[in-house]
This record gives sequence, structure tokens and C-alpha cells, in this order.
Amino acid sequence: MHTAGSSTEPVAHQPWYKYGVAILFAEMAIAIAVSGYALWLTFHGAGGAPRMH
Amino acid sequence: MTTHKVEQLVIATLGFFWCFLMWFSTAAFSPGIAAHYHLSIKSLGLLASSAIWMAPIGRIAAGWASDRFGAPRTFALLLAGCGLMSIASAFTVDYRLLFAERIFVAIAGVSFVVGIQHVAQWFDPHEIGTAEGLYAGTGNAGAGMGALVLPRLFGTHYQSAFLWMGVVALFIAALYLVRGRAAKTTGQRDLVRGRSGMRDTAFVWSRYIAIALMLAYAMSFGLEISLNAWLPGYFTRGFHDAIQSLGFTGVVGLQIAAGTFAAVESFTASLFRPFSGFMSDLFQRKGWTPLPFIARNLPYAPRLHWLGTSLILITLATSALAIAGLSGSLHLSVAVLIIIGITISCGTGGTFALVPLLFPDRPGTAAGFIGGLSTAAGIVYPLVFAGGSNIHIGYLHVAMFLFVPFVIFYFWAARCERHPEEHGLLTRVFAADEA
Repeated sequence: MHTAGSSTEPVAHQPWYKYGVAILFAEMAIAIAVSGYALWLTFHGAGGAPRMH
Repeated sequence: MTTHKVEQLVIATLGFFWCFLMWFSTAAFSPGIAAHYHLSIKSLGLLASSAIWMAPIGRIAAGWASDRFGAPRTFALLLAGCGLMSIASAFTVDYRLLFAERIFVAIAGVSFVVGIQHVAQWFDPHEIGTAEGLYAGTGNAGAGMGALVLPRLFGTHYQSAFLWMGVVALFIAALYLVRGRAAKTTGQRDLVRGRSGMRDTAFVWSRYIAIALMLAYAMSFGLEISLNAWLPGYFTRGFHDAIQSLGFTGVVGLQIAAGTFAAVESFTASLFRPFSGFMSDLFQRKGWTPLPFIARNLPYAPRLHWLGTSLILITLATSALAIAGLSGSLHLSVAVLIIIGITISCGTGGTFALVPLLFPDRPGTAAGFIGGLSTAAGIVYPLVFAGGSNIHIGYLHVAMFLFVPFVIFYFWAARCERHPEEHGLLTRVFAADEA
């Protein structure tokens, strides 16, 4: 439930908050990486696919 | 026992992640299951849709149970029940029994509302957006992780995967029960238990704007979960030759490639969700109201316009997926899937940026209605996807015959310049009750 931006008053965040925001950005980076990997696979095929089993 | 809200967030996110992993693990192995039991395309569509059958009613019930019994007990029961059934399904050799057991395991999908309630009980309003974003985004990624990792780890041995996922679910259930706490204070816990009566529920369910938001969530999250279940089978059938020409041979190879392409939508839809919150904030800050018909004078009007924009983008992107598929281009289809994932995240984030603003007195009931009933769309879409004369054309049918009417209804419901939440069915009855 995103409510940030509803108020313009500055709020003092607790220490955990900056780590939380950092994780959110890291997750977006993961999404971009997975998308790039999938596109790379479509162009390079099985030669680019690591198999773990 | 002392605890910290971050610990509660971590427990809720871990439980949700694992529930979503179990929820869509059937889809991740659908090519292998289809090959093992010689399933037709129609049966594949039914298997894909079955993952979501329990969600609409289950989420509403789970939301109520969280308020009544507390999130830790509710979540632990969900994890333990689904885990045990997942273990049982690992030893099943009859397809009809396996189908029934996997429907039971799919109850794991109702966990979303339990964790939303749990996190909301621990975090303050100014940080709830980030906390729920971490919970929802990270947890939802479990579906994509399943599609990406499970076929690589287990190949076609879906029985082993179901066994291990069930065992781990039992451990997480025990952790949730031991370390989970329902709310920050006992008073808050008791307050929540005493709320959410039948009258409040009827009021929210009958509001036009709540129905419009429910349909918006059906267009976004409903589409997300339907694609989670449908895409591995779609790529295997729709791009069989193209994937084989890439060097992926046999059921295992097809499953790995199809799972990787399918994971693109899930990862972008889940992990870009905070981006939508940022865009909603940007519309609000700049005062952008670009769309016709939708209200312009409400305090949150720009957010209504952002959601309207997102819904139009989802409709266009879904249509584009049909066109990309009909063109036969695997590259184009995967690229369009990335765009669909991002537009879906805009829809999901945009919807829940509005819910607390439109229903500040009944956020839980509204979230249960909008987040629960909308998942029924996830049952319908795979059946439409599989029902067309061509496997690619179903996306266009969904966009034209479902999404376009939904968007028109949203524009109509969001047109009111004053108190849109007061417009709905049975308004006179509720007004008489108030008097």
C-alpha cells in the first residue's frame, strides 16, 4: 500500500528505512538483469544457458 | 519474547515468497507434467487456470482470519497445510489426484492478504509504502524464481521439487508460529479483531469506484498471475520450433527456456512495483491530469489519472503480445513481455496507491475486496488464452472483450468530482442507516 507522497511534510525515517529503499532498488536491478538474460538467451540459445542439474 | 518490526517483515516476506514459489511451481513444471500425462492444449489451459481457483474466496476468508486469529497463526496454518499437500503430491501417480492436490497447494496464493495485514500491524503510515513494497515485491518474485530456477534444479523431476518445497514450507510454518507476533501492541490487536463488520463489507463492495479498482487490479495483478501460470506452457507450444532452433532440445531444454522467458514478466511485474509508486507520486506532485472524463479537482485526482494511463498501457501491451506471437518472433514476444511486466507493475502499484485514500476508514475491507475478488480474472484469462483458434490470438481477445470494457467502467466511475466513494448501489439504504 503505497502512500508516500500523500503528505509533503518531511518525515524522520528510522535506520532500517535506507536499507529497505536500497533493497527495492536492488530488486529493480535484478528484474532488469533477468530481462536482459532472457533476451540474451533468445539471441544466443542454449550455449548461453547454465544448467545446474 | 522481544522482537522487532523488521524481523516481522522478514518472516512475512519469507513466508509469502515461499507460498508464491509453491503456488506457481505447478506452472513451472507444466511442460514436464503435460509430456508425462500427454495433456492436450485445453488440459494445459485448465491446469494453468486451476492454480488460481482458490484465490478469490480464499483471500477474502484469509483477510478475515488474519483479523480474527492474527496473521502468524493464519500464515502458519496455510504454510503447513499447503506443505503437507505438496509432499503428498510428490508421491501421486494418478493425474486426476495430482490435479486435485495441486489445487489444494494453490491455496498458498491467498497468503498475500495475510502478510499485507501482518505488515500493516507493525509499520507506521509514513513507512508503510516501503514496507509493503518490500513485502509484496520480494514475495511476488517467488513466482518468477520458480519459473527460472526450479526447472534448472530439478529438470523434469517435478515430484522431487514438490517434496522439497513441502518440507521447507513446514519449517517456515514453525518459524512463523514461534517468532511471529500479530501486532505491535495488544490494544491494536484487539482493535482490529473488533472491526470489519458485515455492513462495512457491504458498503465497500457496492461502491462503483471500489468495483472499478477491483477491475483495475484484475487487469494488472489478475493478468500477472494468469501469465505466471500460462506462459511456460505457451512458450513450449507457441514457439516450439524457435526454442528448439536455439539448441534447447527435449522436455527439459524446452522447460528451461520457456521458464526463463516466462520469468521475465513475473520479475518485472513484481520488482518494478515500487517504480509505479514513484510515478504515482510524480503525477501527484506535478498535478498531471492528462486524461478526459476522469475527475480533475479531487485531492488525489492525478493518481486516478496515473492509474487510468496504466490501464490503457496494459491493454495496448497485451494486444501487442498477440501481434508479436502472430509474427512468429520469439525475440519480439520476450521484449513485449518485459513491457507488459512493467505496465502490470504500474497497474498494481497505482491501484494500491489509491485504496487507502479512497477508503481511509475501511482500508482492510477494501483491500480484501479489491485484492481478493480480482484474482478471479486469473482463472478466466488462461481459459480465454487457450480457447482461441490460434494460441497467440487469446491475448487480443482478452484485451478487446475484457480490458476495454473494464477501462471504460473505470473512466465512468472515476468521473465524480466530489466523494466518488459515496456513489454506488444501495446508497439510500446506507444513508438511511447513517440517519
